[in-house]
Amino acid sequence: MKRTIALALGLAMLVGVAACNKTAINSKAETSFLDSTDLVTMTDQMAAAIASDSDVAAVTARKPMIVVMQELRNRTNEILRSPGKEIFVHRVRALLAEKQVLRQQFKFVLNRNAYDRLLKQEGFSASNLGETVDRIVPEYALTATFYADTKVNLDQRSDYYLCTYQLTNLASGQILWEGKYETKKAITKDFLD
Amino acid sequence: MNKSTSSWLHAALCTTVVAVMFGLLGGCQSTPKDIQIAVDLYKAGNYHQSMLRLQPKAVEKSEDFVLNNCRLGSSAIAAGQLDVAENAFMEAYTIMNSVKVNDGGRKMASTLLMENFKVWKGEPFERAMAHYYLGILNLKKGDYENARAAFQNSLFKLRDYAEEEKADKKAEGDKYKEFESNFSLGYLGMGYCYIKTNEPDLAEAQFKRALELDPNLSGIIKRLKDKRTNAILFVDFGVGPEKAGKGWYNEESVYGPTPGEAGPVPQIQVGVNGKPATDPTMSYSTTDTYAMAQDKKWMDIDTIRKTKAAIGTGAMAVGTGVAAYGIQSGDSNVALAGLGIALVGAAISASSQADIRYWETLPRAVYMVPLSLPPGAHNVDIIVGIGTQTIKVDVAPQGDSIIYTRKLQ
Repeated sequence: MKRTIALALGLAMLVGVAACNKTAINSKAETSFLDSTDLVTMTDQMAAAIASDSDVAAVTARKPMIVVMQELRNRTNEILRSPGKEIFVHRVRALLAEKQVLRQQFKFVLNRNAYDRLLKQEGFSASNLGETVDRIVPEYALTATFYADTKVNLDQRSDYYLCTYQLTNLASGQILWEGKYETKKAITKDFLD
Repeated sequence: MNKSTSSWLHAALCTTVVAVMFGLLGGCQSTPKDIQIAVDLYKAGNYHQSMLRLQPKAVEKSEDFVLNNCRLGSSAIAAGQLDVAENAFMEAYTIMNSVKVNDGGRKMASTLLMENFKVWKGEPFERAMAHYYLGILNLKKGDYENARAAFQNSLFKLRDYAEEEKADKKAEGDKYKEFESNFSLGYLGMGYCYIKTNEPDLAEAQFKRALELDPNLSGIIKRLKDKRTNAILFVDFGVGPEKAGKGWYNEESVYGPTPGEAGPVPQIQVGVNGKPATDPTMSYSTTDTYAMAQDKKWMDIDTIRKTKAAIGTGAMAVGTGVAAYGIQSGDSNVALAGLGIALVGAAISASSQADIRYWETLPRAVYMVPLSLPPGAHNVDIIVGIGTQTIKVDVAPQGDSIIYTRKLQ
């Protein structure tokens, strides 16, 4: 009988610790959203593809390619917040600026929105900045558009992501280079989810 | 006493001790006092103070993490603290869209003892409302892509039990059908986002679905498509449904009041700078949370708790019968065994209590009022319920202005 009571009290304490624990959210909780692994893999692939592309090399052989980074277009069913959203484009830029040889091939400029924000932040007006003819004018745009095919039922959710990147000639509209990253993420509801 | 009787008594004692312990520990699961104060402040219209009280609670990763962030989001958006609101609802959004949220210990405690040990993720209608707020917050930033994603996530499939299958004695497990969501506010939000991203065909598909659900939305849709519309006023009105336990052991949960008890959602009138800006023949109401709370499609299932209540009741009945037989036949071992079974049954039944946590700061109704206003400052009068609420609105020279306000009564 004493053993029974001790066992019961021990069980009560164990379950009590589990239940009254302030850290209730399971650290192994999962979503079907893009994560840091996708970010690193995707941007590594894109930067490597741009740096080794023969059409891009033909342009950079003549002179540095001046590229404006456009804001990512989110066509998925996941909320991609700033500044996290911008990382998907800016990490490509950072990788292309990592080595001296690449820095000589690619020059990056701010997009219009980021440029206007910076001016406002620093208290500059456009008239403070000198003649427009002296400003660096981008010739290519690096854009990214993410799509997702989401299927949801009562027990599961799956998101098939297609993340596309493009280097586009701003003057002609021609797509000089295009790359993609695809991944499918699926989660199944657990008991009590 | 023979071995089997002893075993039953030991089992009964174990279960009873555990159940009593957690009855006593039930205090750690009741609404904390400071949360209740925060909710009371909200309901008194003191949104900023409510937000300040909720902020430290919303960072604790407890079983109420999502619920506290929803409460915080409500307070912050009503107080005009949009960054705080967005952060809070994003925390809630991440967990709501996650699986394996409860670890093994939580699952065991929720199943064996009290369901409210599990991490609260809300009923489906509460999750839909959380995504609606994320939609508005992104609309206010002009981020139509993220707003569309938020509204899309509010439109997940619902379940409903097929009535004929409930009565089917051969049915095994839970039988249900999947339904497309009838959250018309989600379809309206998506339609509006597609208009702003120049995708009229996709917008039309969303508006068509909204109209199928509620033909009274035709006026709102017409104005959303009107190029002169440059402002949308969202009004959260009234107090949402309350949740309570039901059944002999409170194994079911029930929301109230019903729309029948509360009366219909009142009409809204809006005036701008003293002149009427709404059409009295048009409906601007998109959502009635009282109706959603009564619709089984918007509820999670009670099967676990009902099953436990049934098992417990059955065990008590069997145990009582066995004990009575033992007494009648003079067999003390049988009588004690029956007592043990009855105690086990009582403990199981007592642990089948429903989780009655709910999001107290939801509105009853959400109104969506498209407006066409010249750029600059305006006084906007909102007339619904008791009295008039006047807010000052600044309409931007370009783009659409999204205005949110909360009217409690």
